[in-house]
Amino acid sequence: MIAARNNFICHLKAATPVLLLIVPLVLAALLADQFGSIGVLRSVTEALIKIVVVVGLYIFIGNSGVISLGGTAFMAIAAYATTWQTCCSMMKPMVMSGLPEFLKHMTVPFAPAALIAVALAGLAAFISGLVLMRLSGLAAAIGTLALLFIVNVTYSNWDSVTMGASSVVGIPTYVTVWIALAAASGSIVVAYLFQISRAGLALRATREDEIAAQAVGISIFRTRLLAFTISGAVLGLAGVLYAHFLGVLAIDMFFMQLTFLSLSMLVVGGMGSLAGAVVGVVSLSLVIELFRTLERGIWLGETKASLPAGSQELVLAVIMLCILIWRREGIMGWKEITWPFTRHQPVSASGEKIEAAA
Amino acid sequence: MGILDLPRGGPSGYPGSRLIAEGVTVRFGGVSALSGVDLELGQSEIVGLIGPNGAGKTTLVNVLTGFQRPTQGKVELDGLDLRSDKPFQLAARGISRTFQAGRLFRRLTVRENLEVAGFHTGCTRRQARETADRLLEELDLTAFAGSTAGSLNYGHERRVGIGRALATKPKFVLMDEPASGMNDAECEELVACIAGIPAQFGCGVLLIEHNMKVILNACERIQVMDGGKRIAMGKPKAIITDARVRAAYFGTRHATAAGGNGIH
Ligand SMILES: Nc1ncnc2c1ncn2[C@@H]1O[C@H](COP(=O)(O)OP(=O)(O)OP(=O)(O)O)[C@@H](O)[C@H]1O
Ligand SMILES: [Mg+2]
Repeated sequence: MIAARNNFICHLKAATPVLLLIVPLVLAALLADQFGSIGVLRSVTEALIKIVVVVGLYIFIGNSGVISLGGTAFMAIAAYATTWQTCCSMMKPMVMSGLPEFLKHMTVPFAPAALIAVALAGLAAFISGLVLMRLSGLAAAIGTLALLFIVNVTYSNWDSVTMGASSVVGIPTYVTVWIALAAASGSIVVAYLFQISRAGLALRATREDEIAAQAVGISIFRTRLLAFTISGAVLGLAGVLYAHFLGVLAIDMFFMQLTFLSLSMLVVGGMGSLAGAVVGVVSLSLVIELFRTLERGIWLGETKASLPAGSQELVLAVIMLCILIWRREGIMGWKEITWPFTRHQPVSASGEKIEAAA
Repeated sequence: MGILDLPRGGPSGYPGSRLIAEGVTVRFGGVSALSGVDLELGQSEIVGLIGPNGAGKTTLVNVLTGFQRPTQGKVELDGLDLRSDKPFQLAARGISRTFQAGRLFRRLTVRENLEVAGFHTGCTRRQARETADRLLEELDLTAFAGSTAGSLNYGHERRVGIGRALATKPKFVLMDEPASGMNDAECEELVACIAGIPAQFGCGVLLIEHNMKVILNACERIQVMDGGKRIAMGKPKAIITDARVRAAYFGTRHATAAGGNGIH
């Protein structure tokens, strides 16, 4: 009995870094759902989807220390995959005439379609990873960027199935704030389970020192490939959510702008911890939302004051610069959030307390 | 049981595996870092490897652990050719090493440093953690288990490096200057620790070291290298009186500058 309770408390303790990330998100979703305007609700939903994106990036980038610029390619792959399965049964045979017969005349239910799309993104990550995961450092960044370009160019010219550069419209929009919340929580749990797993620890060892990691029997290629695949699948989920949140799909939604915005969120929050990924999305989303409002203008008594358009991007750039100059490890600085909030009691990625060396 | 109960003497007649390098040559462009070097290491002995800076000691360790392909020569473990194995595969075969530059996983905890080294054996995280904790206790590092490896002082850092190498459950540990930067007291502790390794962990040790006190106290056999060649091999007493060794260390010829851009 006591043993069982201890065991439960032990598990609860191990889960705190995750719970302390998820609970505030649940509260935010609740508040937005109860009291927020439609605009606020949409913003919160979008931020939750962004959490899936950045957590997906974090799984690979944060644990491996290798910068991948190709993550959004997997979002695109999954977004189109779910669209092919669920979208516009009337128009599909005409506007996407290049689709295989069975897809042209079939509409798949949302959940299996999403699953298939996520699996496809994971598969694409695995296959491209077979080549890309042999690279390190700058070569890896350039290689993954090339992947993003390849997918972008392919999809924007593959007119018969993607409608080329024009948007696909009429995608069913089933993504509510609750579905986005479930996905964000799910991706956080997946990322956490990965980072406390053997493979996660091994990957963080390769991040610290590639040579030493090999010398203790770690295959850099294999550990990175696994993380890249999981990361690709989570990003695929984010792509599915985007498609069914906006109801519109165009290949340029998943290109440079999203790549760099999501990477900025990871950098600002802190690449070295899962908490950093979440905190980065939340803080930058707040800033973006604030400046969007200010750009639209607010009434001060009789006069309407507004910031010039583009100030939001400017402020983001300034925040990025400040972080890079003064706090390179990001807001969270490699630490997970723990309970109780004792200061100077950082926790390593596996939830283990770090003590100061004597 | 003390380590003195074990048979001593020449390499032949030892139980366990044998790691052998024969005629190993490594050329970097025009520079010959190694030319035709032999080395033999049994699973229950401690062999010292000494030589001036740039003699090729680290390069030899890199060859034995798969980080450097030999231009020529053989590397064998119990008759098995190792030359095409990657470093992580050699670690799985039981050849482990420490680094001259430490190379700990600095932002992982000390415990995690050891834990991660046990994974290739296929054990669970919990088993790896138990092994790590036991090792930390044996190396007297338990107090630092939860510290990040990057926060340790030099002496402890070296010891964690040894612990990490041992956590791979090796047959052979190749140590690249584990005593560099240590004070006399720390060196003595280190010698005691290293001397106990063959009996305690069942693995042979190749010890590269500039500190002769450490070498003479820990090793039963010493190999001397200079300019990429083996110039002497034998018991400590014979080595310190060997004329060629004295010439290499105290002779007029200046040692090659240390460094290069390899793995240290
Ligand atoms: N990757 C490399 N590229 C070019 N030259 C190298 C490389 N690695 C080592 N060398 C050269 O090979 C020679 C042997 O170097 P090595 O590091 O093996 O010496 P060492 O005996 O370990 O010396 P030290 O006592 O200074 O550690 C040196 O002349 C070095 O400059
Ligand atoms: Mg050396």
